[in-house]
Amino acid sequence: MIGAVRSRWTIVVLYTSLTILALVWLVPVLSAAMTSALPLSQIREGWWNLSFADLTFGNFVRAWEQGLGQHVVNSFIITILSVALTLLTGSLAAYAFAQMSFRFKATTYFLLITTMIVPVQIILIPMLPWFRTLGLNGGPQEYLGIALVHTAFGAGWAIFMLGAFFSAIPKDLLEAASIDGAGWFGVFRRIALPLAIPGIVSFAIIDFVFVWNDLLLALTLLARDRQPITVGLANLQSPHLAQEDLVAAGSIMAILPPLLLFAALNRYYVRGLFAGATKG
Amino acid sequence: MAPQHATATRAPREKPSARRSSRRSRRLERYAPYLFITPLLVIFVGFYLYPALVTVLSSFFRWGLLRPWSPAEPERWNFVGLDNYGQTLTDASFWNATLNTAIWLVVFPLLVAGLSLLVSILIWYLARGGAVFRTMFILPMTISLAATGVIWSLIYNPDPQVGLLNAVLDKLGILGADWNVGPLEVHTGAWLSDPGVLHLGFADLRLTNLALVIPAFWAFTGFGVITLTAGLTSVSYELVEAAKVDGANTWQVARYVLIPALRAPLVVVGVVSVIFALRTFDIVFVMTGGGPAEDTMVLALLLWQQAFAFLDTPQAGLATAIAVLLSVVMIVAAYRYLRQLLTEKPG
Amino acid sequence: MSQRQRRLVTGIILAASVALIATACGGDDGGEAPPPGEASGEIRVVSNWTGSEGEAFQAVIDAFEDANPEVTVKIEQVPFDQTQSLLTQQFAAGSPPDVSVALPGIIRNFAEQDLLLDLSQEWDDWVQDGEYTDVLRQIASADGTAYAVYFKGNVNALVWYSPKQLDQLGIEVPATWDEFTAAMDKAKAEGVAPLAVGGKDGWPLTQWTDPIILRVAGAEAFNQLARGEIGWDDPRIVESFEVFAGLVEEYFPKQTLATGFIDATCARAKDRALFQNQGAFINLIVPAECDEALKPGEDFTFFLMPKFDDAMPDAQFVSGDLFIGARDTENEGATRALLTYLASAEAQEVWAKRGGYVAPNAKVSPEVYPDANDRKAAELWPKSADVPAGYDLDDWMGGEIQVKYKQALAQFVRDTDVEKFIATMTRVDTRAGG
Repeated sequence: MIGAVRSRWTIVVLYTSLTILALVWLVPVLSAAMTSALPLSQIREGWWNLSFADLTFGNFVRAWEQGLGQHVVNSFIITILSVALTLLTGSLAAYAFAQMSFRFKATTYFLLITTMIVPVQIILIPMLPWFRTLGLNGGPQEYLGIALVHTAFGAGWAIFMLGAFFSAIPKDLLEAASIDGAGWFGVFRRIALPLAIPGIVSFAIIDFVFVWNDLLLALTLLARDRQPITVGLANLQSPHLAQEDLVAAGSIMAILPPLLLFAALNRYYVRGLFAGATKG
Repeated sequence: MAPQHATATRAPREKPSARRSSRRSRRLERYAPYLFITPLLVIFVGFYLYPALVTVLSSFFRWGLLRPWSPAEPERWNFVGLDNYGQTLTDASFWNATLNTAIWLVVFPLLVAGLSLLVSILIWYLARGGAVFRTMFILPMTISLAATGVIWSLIYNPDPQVGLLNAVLDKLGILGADWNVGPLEVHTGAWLSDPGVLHLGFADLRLTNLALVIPAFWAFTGFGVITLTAGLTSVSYELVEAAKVDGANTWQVARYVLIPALRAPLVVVGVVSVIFALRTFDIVFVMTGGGPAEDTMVLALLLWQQAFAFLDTPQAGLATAIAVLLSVVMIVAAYRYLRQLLTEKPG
Repeated sequence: MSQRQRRLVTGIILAASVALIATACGGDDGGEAPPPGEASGEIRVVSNWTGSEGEAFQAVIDAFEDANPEVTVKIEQVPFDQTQSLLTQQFAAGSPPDVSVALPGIIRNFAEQDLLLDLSQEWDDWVQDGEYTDVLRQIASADGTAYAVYFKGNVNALVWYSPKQLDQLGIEVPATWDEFTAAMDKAKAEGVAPLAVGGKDGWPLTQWTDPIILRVAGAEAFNQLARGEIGWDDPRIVESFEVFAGLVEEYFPKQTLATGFIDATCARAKDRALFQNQGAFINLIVPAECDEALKPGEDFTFFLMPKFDDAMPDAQFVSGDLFIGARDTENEGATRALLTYLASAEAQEVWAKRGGYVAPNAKVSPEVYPDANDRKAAELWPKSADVPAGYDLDDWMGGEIQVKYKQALAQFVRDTDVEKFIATMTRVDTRAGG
């Protein structure tokens, strides 16, 4: 890559200003991380005065034991189930929209795309009675219930983003396979799906982050002991107690899984959003 | 993101078996697209379209969540026509929440667009290291707004021994300072309860809302940075060189070459942040719960409260009315964006 | 993949048809409860307590499990302000907690929808045995039927202070309203904050307004206001808020709305403020959350907020935590067993021994309380029906009025605009037909 600027002075200013900005940007996370690793007495004197001898994992252990552990497990169940369901149904549908023609295609596409814009509040209120009617309440089936809602709301993004990846596959390639006798599903599974893997990974990460971070749906639709870490964290903010140590440890527990995923697969995450950005 | 073609050769191997069943599969092929879209469509209809329809319909009835309105039980319907809308539109709490949401709608997209414009242009100028900086700005995007709210509550903690912001202000000697500039009143220190007011005559804008916008802005700017750096990849260095030969300085290059290239991505950032701002719930729920008083109440939280917390007056009907109004506003705001998405339709 | 997918589609279609049938049938899904009497199985109980109070409640539940080894109890802790929305959500979802903490406003609303276990028989026995009074029964009832048990009583309007600090400042324990304000004036002059108020959490503000209404307007007006028989524009109520406005302007800390309840409590405990007006539970919270070294009775104690007007009869401001049982519980036996246990002297003594607690059951002996503060608070609990008492106003009203009342109070603390406050509350609370 060739830089656009050659003057040394400008380069120094550029790097300095970006570095300062980026550091400021990381302060909140740093602040939470430090707070989570210190005993309450030390937090009360400012974490920035920390002595390294005081660093402890105790807050995490206590936060985990106080029920956040269960919430983390719930988060994983909900997120994995939702992402799997969205990928499964979304990639099939996205492929159809990208490579096939059928009746009412435009109308269906429009309806699905609206989920990208219409707020989740539009379904929130009648959802509880609806779950009850469907028998999706009062047991582990609640996990399936919320995953179905996440899938419905991810439908727009799924066909939009995955569709972009599927439509990038040359039509001749698919037709060649079709002429060789593979049925539509065979073409999809043996040719289109493998080719779209990078796109699917990108979408899976974005969807993972999205579902993991949901508060409103889980808060509204799930019983207490099936709620994810976001809700557990919000409840830990409970006004009745002074427990910055636990709250900070909880926030780190909530941040870590999507963050690690992002760190490991940063390229895919950015690429997915990049695709969304340039297409949009 | 060109797909790799290496895997494509695997397909023909299964030819014989495929041929045998070809007649059946050809008939099936007519239905193939429908089989492909049906799973998603069923979920979509069951968990989006139908509930959304119930929301819209139930907004014309009076009901509470403990006795939910149901399309199947007409004998329990309590039809009130447009009363829920009328009552909502004349409710002081609704307009207060609308005003606060409006603050979000104006300030949030401006902050996001402003900073991500600056950052993406700075990154574009860099010879190397751009990706590292970009990553640092994207990082908060993976953090849930609930966690963001918690983290920023720590930073805003009024005790200068605990809260970083007040510790810094304390060092600078301006903690607890009061400033009055014309209609603007600012107090430093109590960020989540009383940071100040902007008196506009017809309404008082509470600055507490800004204290909540900032964490959201922090979390969301990465999206703007990604979108705008993606937009800038289309700008060629030759164009910039040409402009420089013509005597343009760095600022003029940014102003006349880069920013025009970003018009479309900026619209995307703007629209998506408007949608984001209208939906705001998590940050407010976690940080202030809409308080103190109703200073930070936004529409999304108000309708949640009405549906779930106000049992004495069955107000789920009012809540659904707000949900419908909110959705209408959002569709209107994003209409052009939606149109654009549709013309980009694949296939 | 295709098989899984087929199974999924079948599942969804199945679910959809079940849904249609269920809708057509009107969604009747009354569970079959086992016959009462045999207490076994698992039940869920929702409570608000955390920290030291949470441990105390856990101890009570442990004792219950020891006595009923066949029953497992799962405690789900909910922030106080979210109790109402969580219960609405869970009852609406058709999977209510078997037992839940509830306040009178909630009890009435759920009872109206016929969602609660009828506890009339249990109450008949308790009143007959002298464990509870009829006044308490009314608080736990809706339309004459009892739906809740009393578990934790609380007396409020206790002004907590440190005897040492009072000595240092040369202040006597105030016995009249004038002495009360004079003491705070003196503290101000000495550079000590007169009051610690945790206004950020909303409810500590109502800890101020309730006793003031009770003292200025009187118990009769207080109870009429609670029941919607008079409006907020009643002159006695307006006068109460004028008195409150004076207190706020003179003595409330500037940071009231930025301070949480625990921070305020600890600020007082560390002598950074002279007084804190709160309930009896402070006795447990100060040593547990602020400083273990602080001894109840020696390092901190309380006096009852003085009467505003000496001519006014005595009236005690009380509140408390009640528990309800879900009518649709799948385990009525264990649910009733737990509710009965919570109301018993045996259960209440478990917490009473830990302090910061007032047992509502009259059979709990005063000897179980660990220190003088708790005994003094327990004595204030109305033991007979003829002591005029005001039950916590906003907890009594519940619902929208409660939420809006707390919001309006936060605004009031900021601008002390009585007229605006009364207008807001008149608009919100339309029960009196104003």
